[in-house]
Amino acid sequence: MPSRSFAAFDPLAILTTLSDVEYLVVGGFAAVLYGAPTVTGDLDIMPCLDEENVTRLASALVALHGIVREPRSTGRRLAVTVELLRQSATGASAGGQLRTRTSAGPLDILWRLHDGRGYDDLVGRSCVLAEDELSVRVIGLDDLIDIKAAIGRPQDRVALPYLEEIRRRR
Amino acid sequence: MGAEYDDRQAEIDETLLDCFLELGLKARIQSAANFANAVEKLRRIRSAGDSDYAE
Repeated sequence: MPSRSFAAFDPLAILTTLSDVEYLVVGGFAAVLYGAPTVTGDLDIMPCLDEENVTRLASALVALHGIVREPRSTGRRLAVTVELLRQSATGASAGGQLRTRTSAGPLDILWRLHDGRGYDDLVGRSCVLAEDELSVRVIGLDDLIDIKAAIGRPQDRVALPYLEEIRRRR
Repeated sequence: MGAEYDDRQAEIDETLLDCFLELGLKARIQSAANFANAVEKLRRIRSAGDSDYAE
């Protein structure tokens, strides 16, 4: 069961559970997948907003015992359900996201980027990384670099030189 | 510090990147998770002084 105590981050378990869901890995973990040796303690995904896909995502989150991540002070433990996920997706504006905690660690669902772009705008330039049975669709490297440069938080500035070097070597 | 430090840091960064790029996808994911879990564990020990995490 999920808890507010320490749940080890297990992104492989999350990615495996999401195998039937259409999404892009975005954010810091996308940088890791491309090979940036940076630290990130959560997984950010941008799902396709198709209704059936949102339902599949909800099922995966139920399997992962997903709850909405809220400040500890609220004392609430709101489980992720199909209805909650649909509401969150429908009302999503620029920067809209749902932050969850699962039995395999934090999983943040970004419906749209800060500039309003969503899955359909980015999937065409995305890339699939695979090994054995694991296959993960990741936001395009150029898009990832542009976004990190635009946002410019400390963790973005740390990842950028690695990502630019990875692009240079390709 | 200064230029010597920057050169050394650049060398470390490049070595780290080379090593990480040599890993397969799953090993890269697992390495990142191990690192994140270690950092989180240390952060909790330092912020809460919780002996449950001080193994």
